[in-house]
Amino acid sequence: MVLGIECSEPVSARALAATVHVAQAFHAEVECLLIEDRQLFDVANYTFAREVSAAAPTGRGIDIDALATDMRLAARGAERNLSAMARDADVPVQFRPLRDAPVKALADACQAMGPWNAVALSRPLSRRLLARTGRLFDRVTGMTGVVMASDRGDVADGPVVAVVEDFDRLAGMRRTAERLARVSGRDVRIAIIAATRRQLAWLEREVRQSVAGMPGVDVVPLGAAGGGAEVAAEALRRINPSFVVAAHGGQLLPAEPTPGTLADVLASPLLIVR
Amino acid sequence: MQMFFKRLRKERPAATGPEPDAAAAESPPAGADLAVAGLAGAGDGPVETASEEGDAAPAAASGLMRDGHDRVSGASAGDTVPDLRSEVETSAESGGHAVSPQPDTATAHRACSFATSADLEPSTDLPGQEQARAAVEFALAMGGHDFNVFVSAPGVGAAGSVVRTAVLDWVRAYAASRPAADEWVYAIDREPPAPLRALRFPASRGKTFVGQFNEALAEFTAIARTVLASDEHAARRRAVDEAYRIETEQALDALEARAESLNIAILKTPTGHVMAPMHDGEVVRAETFAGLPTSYREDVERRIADVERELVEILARKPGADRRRRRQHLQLDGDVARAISETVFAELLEAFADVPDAIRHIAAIETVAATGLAGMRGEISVSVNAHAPGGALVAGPFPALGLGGGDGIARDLDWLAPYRAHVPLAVEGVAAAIGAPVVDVVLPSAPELTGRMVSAGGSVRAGSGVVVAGALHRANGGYIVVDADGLGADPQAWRALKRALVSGEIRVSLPAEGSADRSASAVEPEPIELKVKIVAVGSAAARAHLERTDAEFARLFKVAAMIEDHVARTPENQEAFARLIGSIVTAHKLLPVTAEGIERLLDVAEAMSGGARRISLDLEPIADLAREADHWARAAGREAIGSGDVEEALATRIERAGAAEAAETASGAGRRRSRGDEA
Repeated sequence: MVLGIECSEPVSARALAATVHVAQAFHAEVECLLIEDRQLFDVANYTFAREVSAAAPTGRGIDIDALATDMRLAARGAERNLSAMARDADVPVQFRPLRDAPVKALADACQAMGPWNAVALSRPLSRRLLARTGRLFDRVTGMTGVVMASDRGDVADGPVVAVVEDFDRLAGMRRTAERLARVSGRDVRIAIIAATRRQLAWLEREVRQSVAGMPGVDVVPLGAAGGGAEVAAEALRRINPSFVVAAHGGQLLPAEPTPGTLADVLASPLLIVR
Repeated sequence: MQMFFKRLRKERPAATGPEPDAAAAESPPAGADLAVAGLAGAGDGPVETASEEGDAAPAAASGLMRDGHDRVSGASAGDTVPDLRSEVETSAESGGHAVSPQPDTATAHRACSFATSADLEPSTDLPGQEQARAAVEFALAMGGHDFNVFVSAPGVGAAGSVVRTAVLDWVRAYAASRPAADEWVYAIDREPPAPLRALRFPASRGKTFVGQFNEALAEFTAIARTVLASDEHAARRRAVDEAYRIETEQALDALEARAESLNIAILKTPTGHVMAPMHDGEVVRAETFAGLPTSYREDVERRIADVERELVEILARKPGADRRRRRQHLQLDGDVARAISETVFAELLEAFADVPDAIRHIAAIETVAATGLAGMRGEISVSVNAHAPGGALVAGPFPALGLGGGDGIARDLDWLAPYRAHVPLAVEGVAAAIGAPVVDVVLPSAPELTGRMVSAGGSVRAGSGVVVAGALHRANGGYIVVDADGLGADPQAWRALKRALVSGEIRVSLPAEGSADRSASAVEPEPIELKVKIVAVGSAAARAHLERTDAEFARLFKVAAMIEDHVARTPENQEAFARLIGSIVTAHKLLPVTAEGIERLLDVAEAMSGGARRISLDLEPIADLAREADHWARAAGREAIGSGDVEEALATRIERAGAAEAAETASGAGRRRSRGDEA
């Protein structure tokens, strides 16, 4: 697992926890990149560059030393928190501070570690972040999936949900969900989505056949057929999932998220697979 | 008193057989026959019993009973029991104190015919006290806080004294025809720390209100929990949050998208945002930018300035947007609370529509419930979420009570619990009398009179305590009969009573300042309007002491009633005396007293008043004598107390007194001898 912590952005504790959860499920170790965005230091060289904030609306000059100090302190805090969580879960973790563009740093790390990496982002899930998932998949080629976590609402305690829109992906998604569920002792629910009622009915039949007899695995349609991302997101919210596994680019996670979709309603971590 | 009893004593009869009283006791009809026999003899006129020494038995005039036996045998030389009949006649001739004329003994005896006190209805009614009773009733009827009454009585003891019981019965009889008193309920009506409010209710409705009100609070909490946890409510809150996000995040997202389209990157720093030119998704290095044409560079700088301006506007709107979001949440929860309270309190409002204090209080609590609920949700929305095992996520809005909120840890909390109403404790225990309440206070102390605050656990804090009723609470709207000697002995008790009477208020005492039972936030409960009349019963000495100690006493106790310490020995008064004996028997669980025994006691009472056909109402010695006689009767295995037992009691007293006297004399002589020797 490669966890990218951008030291200039807020770090979500739930994102750190989700990272450890996934690492535990896959018996993986975590390579934690403590990224100081190089671009910020580049901007500081501009004569007209100013830092704008609610506290300083007229802007102030960029103090590189202060910037570096702030980011180092943020990194230390994140390191401490993650170390504690990893220790409790018996997950090995390595920390690597570096100064680079965040996406490039992730891409380089994944390339160095070989294929089949899951990347985790420390920022809280938001529509903006979700919108960049496609770009992330494009630029970080060694990434099979990306983990994000929402900071909204209460901690969800429902089943681990694998959202299946393509029958061919059922086995992989189900196995992933089962691994995650084993760590937290939850049940698995296969949530299916289809564009038409006929497709939905077929998919449901096939999926139920496949998982028949598997203990702790349930199948449920995610909203009405063809309901779109909003309907699916709301249906998913009602399940109150403790973890969601979903594929990028489908009905649940369209390339361009809109109001009312998953980022707005989800209260749990999300593993988006390529 | 011992010398007095010595004078009263007659020689004991020779033991020639069973006590005639025993015979009477064993066969009441026989006793009645004896009485009849006595009546037959007495009907011939005043009875003169020939004593051994020729004394005229005072009982000759009583007509109660006459067997002649014990009187005749009991009289002895040297007895100073006078010939009362002759004394009475002499006294009347000489214009002495008015006494009842010689009774028609036959008539009198027939009217009082009984064998033992068990045949009589016991009564605490004191004979011949019409004036005293009238004075007491006058004081009770007078308005104002200062027409209280002091009843001076001889031999008034603590609880159980006959005189005190009689006065209590007068007051109860009077109170029975008075209207029942209002009830008072305590409750807080705003967030603690707040004083307990005192709410006035008509008689018997206060307790009803407490039960229904507390139930309504519990119902409100239960419904509120359900509603707050419902999907519908959560959806409404999400809509508010969504609107906030749209206003802030989307604004930022939109600005970022627009900036991107202008090839400007907006980067986040730990403390704010910076903007820079961008190319192909990456920030252009400064040295590269410096190499671009000036016009292009200026254009980029202008665009960056625009984006900056817009960003500042968005950031400036954020606090306002957040405030609006919070307010909308509060409004939402307030709407929920109001809807619930309208349902929950509707019945209560209808049931108590005629009680202004109830209506006001319910309205205040509805406001508390609305704002408290909103505040509770407000704390939840900003705290790090944590669940108590099996509990709802609740943060207490009442930090003064130390109930959740501050540490972000959820607790399952009945947050309306501090608002439960109560009637002062112990009022429940007062028998629901008809009419106004009457309370007997035997050992007056300040807390006993004004009540106190207690807490179920921990120290009393504002609004968290419960009032334990004092006598003033219990008697409010009615009357208190208080032991005046006790009042005089406890200056604090007198001061507390005086303060209450003068102010016309009951102020409940808090635990002592600095004590473990009292927290810094403890606040005195609201005082209650006091309307009470005090009947202080005590000795003349107690009255004198109170008047000496405090000039206010006479001003507050304007009415004086005097229990006559002796009354004429008329048939009516004798019968009343006999019933008093009956009440003494009941009170002390004695054997019944035969007619002869009662007559002997009458003799004692007459002698106590100096004779002359008057009987003393200083009943404590009489009661004591009856109790000692009971002892002797039981020792002899008798079933009733006869005159012989009374005699025995007298005799043994004298013996004890004699022995004590002798011992004292001997020790005194010894001291004189030793001093003489020394000399």
